Amino acid sequence: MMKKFLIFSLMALVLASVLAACSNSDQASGEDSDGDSDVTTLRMTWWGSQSRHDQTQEIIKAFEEENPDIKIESEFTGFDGYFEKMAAQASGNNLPDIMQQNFGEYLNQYADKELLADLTPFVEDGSIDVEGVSDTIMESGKKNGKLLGIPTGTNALTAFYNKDMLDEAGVDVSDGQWTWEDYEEYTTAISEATGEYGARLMEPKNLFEYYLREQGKTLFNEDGTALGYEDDQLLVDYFERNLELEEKGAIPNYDTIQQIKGVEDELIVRGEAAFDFRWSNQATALDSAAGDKPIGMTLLPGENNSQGMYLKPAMLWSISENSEHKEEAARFIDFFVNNIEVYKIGGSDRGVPIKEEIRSELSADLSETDQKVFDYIELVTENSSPIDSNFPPESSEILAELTKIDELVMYGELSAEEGAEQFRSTVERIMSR
Amino acid sequence: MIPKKKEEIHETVEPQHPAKKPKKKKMKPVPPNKKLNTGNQNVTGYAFISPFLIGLFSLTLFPILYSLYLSFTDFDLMGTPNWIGLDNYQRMFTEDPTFWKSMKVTFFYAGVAVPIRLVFALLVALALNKVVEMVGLYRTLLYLPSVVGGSIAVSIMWRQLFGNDGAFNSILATLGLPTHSWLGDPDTAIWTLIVLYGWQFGSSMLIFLAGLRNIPKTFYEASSVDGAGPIRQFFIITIPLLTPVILFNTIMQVIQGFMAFTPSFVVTNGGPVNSTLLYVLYMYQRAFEYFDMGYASAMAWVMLVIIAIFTALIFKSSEHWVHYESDAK
Amino acid sequence: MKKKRITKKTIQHVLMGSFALMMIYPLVWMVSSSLKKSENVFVNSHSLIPSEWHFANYIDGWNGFAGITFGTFFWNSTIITVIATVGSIISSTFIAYGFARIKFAGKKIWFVAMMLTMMLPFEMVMIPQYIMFNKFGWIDTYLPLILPTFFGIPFFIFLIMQFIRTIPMELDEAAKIDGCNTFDIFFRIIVPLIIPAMMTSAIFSFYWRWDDFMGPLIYLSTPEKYPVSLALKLFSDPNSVTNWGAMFAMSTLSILPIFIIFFVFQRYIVDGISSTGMKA
Repeated sequence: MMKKFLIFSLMALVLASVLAACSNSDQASGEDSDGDSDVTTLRMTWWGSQSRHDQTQEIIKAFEEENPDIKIESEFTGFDGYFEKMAAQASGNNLPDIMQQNFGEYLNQYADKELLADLTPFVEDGSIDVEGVSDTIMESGKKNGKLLGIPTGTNALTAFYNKDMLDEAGVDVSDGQWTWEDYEEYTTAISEATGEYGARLMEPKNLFEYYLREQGKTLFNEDGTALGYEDDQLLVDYFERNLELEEKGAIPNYDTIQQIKGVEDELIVRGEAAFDFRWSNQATALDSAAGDKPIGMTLLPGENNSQGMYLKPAMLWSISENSEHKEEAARFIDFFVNNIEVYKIGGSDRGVPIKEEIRSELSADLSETDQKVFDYIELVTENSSPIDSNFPPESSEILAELTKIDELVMYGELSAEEGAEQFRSTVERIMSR
Repeated sequence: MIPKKKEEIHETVEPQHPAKKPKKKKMKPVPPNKKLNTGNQNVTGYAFISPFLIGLFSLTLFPILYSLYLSFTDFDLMGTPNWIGLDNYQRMFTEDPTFWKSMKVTFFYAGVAVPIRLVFALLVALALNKVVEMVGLYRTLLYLPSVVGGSIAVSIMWRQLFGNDGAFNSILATLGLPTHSWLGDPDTAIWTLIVLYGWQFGSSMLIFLAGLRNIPKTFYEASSVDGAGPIRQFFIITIPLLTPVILFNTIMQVIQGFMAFTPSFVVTNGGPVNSTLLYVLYMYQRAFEYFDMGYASAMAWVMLVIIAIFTALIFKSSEHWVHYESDAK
Repeated sequence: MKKKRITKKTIQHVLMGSFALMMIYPLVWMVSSSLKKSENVFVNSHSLIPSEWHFANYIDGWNGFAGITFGTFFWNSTIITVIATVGSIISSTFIAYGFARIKFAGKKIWFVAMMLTMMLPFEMVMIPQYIMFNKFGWIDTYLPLILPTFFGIPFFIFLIMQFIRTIPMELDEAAKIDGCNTFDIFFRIIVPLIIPAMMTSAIFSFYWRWDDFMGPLIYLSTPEKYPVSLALKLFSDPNSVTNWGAMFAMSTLSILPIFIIFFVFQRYIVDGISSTGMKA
C-alpha cells in the first residue's frame, strides 16, 4: 500500500512540474521573440474604468502604427489596488516602463525612493515636446529639482452648482466673483427658497488647503516639515462657517454625507443641494447622473480666489528608473502629449490637454460637458497661482486626521478651537517621528 | 489594564518555544518500549503531512519571517528597511491613540459579532436538518449571502439598507418606532457591520450542517429503542457529537472576527470618527496609505499574539467539552 | 393526523421561505440593478423592478476591456479555481489524516505552526511573497495562485481533521484485524466517511479562489490572464464614470458558477454518512 501513496505523490509532483514547465516556457518564448527582432517591448500600466481601458488600448494601437519598432504591453487595473500592486512591483524592482501616476503623496513617495526617471534630458533634447505648456503645469511634475512626470491633462477645484436652484433664490455666481460672505448668504437664501440644502458639506481634504491659499497661506511650509500657517484661527474660522451653516440647515452634517454611495449619488445630482465643491474631471459623472438638471461650473468663493485656485495634473506619465528602454518610453509620452488622435479617441478622460494647440484644435467637436470643462479650465488658467507641491510623505495620514477632526467638530464632540488645536498637535506628533 | 496586557503578551510568546522542546524530548524516549510500532508511525505520520512541511519550508515560512523582520524596521514600502529595534512596538503602545481605538473597536466587534454568527449558523443548520423537502434550495439560498462577500454591491446595498430613508428605517417607521441615522451615528455604525457579519453566516452554517449529517442515524435509532425522546437525543447525541465541529467553527470565527477587514473597508471605511476602524483596516491604511509598512507589520504580529492566546485558551478548554469518538474507549 | 402534518409542513415552508427571501434581498437588488441603466442605479435604488429592462448591460459588460471579453476572464477563473480546488482538497485530506489519526513525534509543534500561519493577514505577507515569487520567476504566471494549494490549506486541514476525529477508532481497529494497513484504512474507511467534509471544503475552496482579488492583482500583469474577480474591478474608477450597470451584470454572471457548484455539490453533504449507512 505504500506503493499507492508513492504513486499518488508522484502524480502530484508531475502535475506540479508540468504546470511549472508550461508557464515557464510561455514566459521564455515571450522573451525570445523580443530578442530575435528589432522590436522593443514596453510595459505600460494605468488604472481606470471600462471606457479608459478601451480608449487607451486604441491610443496604443495608433502609437504602434506610427512606431513599428515599439510594442506596448498594457497592464491595466482598476483604481482599487493599483498602488498596492505598484508597491509590490517596486519591491521586486519590477516596475513597468511607463506608469500612470497620481499627483501628491504617491508621486512624492516614488520621488523620495528614486524609483522614477528624471525626464529633464528628454524635454531638453526635444524628444518629449512640451513647447508652450505653461510653467505652472510643468512645475507640478517636479520634485527635488527633477522632472518625474508629465501631466496627462489638467484638473481644478470647481464650484459645481445647480442653475435652477440658484435662479429660484435669485443668485448668480457664473462670473466667479463671490466672497465667503456671499457663499454663506447664498446657501442660506437657497435653502430657504428651495427647502433643500444650499450646499454640500465641504470635504476638508482639499478645501481647507484652498481656504489657506486664498488667505495667502499654505498647508505645509516650504520644505514640507511642518504646517505652513501659524494662526489656528484660520482653521477655527473654517470650522465655524460650516457649523453655523449646518445649524441653520443650509448644509447637511456628516450623517447625511456618510450615506452617499458614489459620485452618481451626490446631493447635487439628486437636486438636494445647490453647490458642491469638487474636482473638475468629475463633471462627466455628475452631468450624466444629474439628467436634465443644469449643472454650472465656477471658481470657488473668496476675495482672492485667483490666488487660491490652482491647476492640478489630473494624472502624470512617469518612466521607471529600472526601465531599460527609457528613450522609447519617452517617445510614447511625447506621442500622448502632442498627437491630436489621442484626444480624439480619449477626449478629456485624463484631464484637459496641456497643450494650447490641442485644446483649440479639439474645441470644434467637443461634447457639451467637455466644452463646459474646457471653458472652465481656461477660466482657471487665467485666475490661478501655481500648485503647492511641498507635501511631505506623511501628508496622507495628516489629511486623514484632518477629516477625522472635522467629523468630531461637526458632531459637536470638539469645539472649533479644540479641533484646530488638536490638529496642530497631531501634525506635530506625526512629523516628529 | 492596558500595560498588563502587554506583559501578558510578552510572557506568553516566549514560553511557547521552550515548551516545544521538552515535548520533543519527551516523545523521543518513548520508542524503546514499542520500538517497531512507533518508529513506523513516525515515518507514516511524516509521510502524510509531508506536503504541508514542504510547503511550509519552501513557500510559507520566508514571507512570515520576513514580515517579522520588517516589524523591527522603518520599512516604508519602497525603500530599504532600516533596523530600528522595538521602536514600532513602543510607538504603538505609548503614542498612538488610533491604535488603541482600533483595538477597542475590534474587540467589541469580534466579541459581539462572532457569537451572533455562531449561534445563528447553528440554529439555521438545525432547522435545515429537520426540513426534508426542498432542503437543497433553502440551503443554497441561505448560503448565497456569503457569496457576495466584499463586493461593491454589498457596500452600496448596506448603505442603502441603513440609510435615512432606507429599508430598515421604513420598517421601524411602520412599526411606529423612532428612526435613526444608523450609519451616520458613531455609536450605531459598528452595529451595521455586526449585522453584516451575522448575515453572512453561510459558511459556518454549512460546516454545522455537514457535521450534523455526519452523525450516524444508527445512533438515533439505537437510542429510540432505548426510549429516548427527541430532546434527550439532542443533548445526548447531537450536541456531543457536534462538539468537534463547534470547536472548529469557534476557532475559525474567532480568527476571522479579529482579522475582519472587508466589511469596514467597503462599507464605512472606518468612519464616522473612526468608530468602525477595525484593527486590520487600520493596519492596511498604515501599510499602504501612510507608507508605514514596518509599523503595520508590528501591528500584525501583535494581533497574531492576541489571536494565538485566544486560540490556545479555546483549545485548552476544549479538553473539557469536546467529545471525540476516536478518543472514546 | 395527516392533516396536522401538512399544516405543520406549510408553516415550515412559509417560515423558511420568507427567511430565505429576506437573506437574499441584496442579491435580488444586484440582479435588478444589472438590468437598470447605469444612471438609474442610484437614483431609483429602492425599486427592485427596473422601469425598463436594459439587457444591453450584459452585452456591454461581456465585451470587457480593450478587446478582451469576459469569456477569457471566465475561462481563466475556471482553470485557476478547478486546479487549485483539486490540489487543496487532495493535499489537505492527506495532511488532515496524518494529524488526526497517526501518533508521531513533533505532531503538536507542526499543528501549532499550521494554526499560526492562519493568523497573519495576507496583506502583510504579500510584499515578501512577491519578492520571493519574483525571484522564482513566477510573476505573471498562475503558479503563485495554484501551486501553494498543493501543500494543503490550513483551514481545510483543520476542518477535515475535526471530521476524522468524530469517526470511532473501533473502525480502524477492526480493519487492522482484517489485515489493513494505515493506507488501506485511509483510502477504504476514512475517505468514504469524510466525503461531506471534503465536499464542504471543495465548495469553500471553489468560492474563495473564484473570489480572490488580491492574489491575482499582485501576481498577474497581462490582462489576458486576469480572472473574473480582478476583471470586475476594472469597471470602476471613483474619479471618472463607472459603468455600474455593466459591472452589476458581470457580477451577477460571476455568481452563477458558484451557485451551480454549490447546488450540485451540496448533495454530497446530504448523502454523506447518514444515508450511505454505517450499519455494517
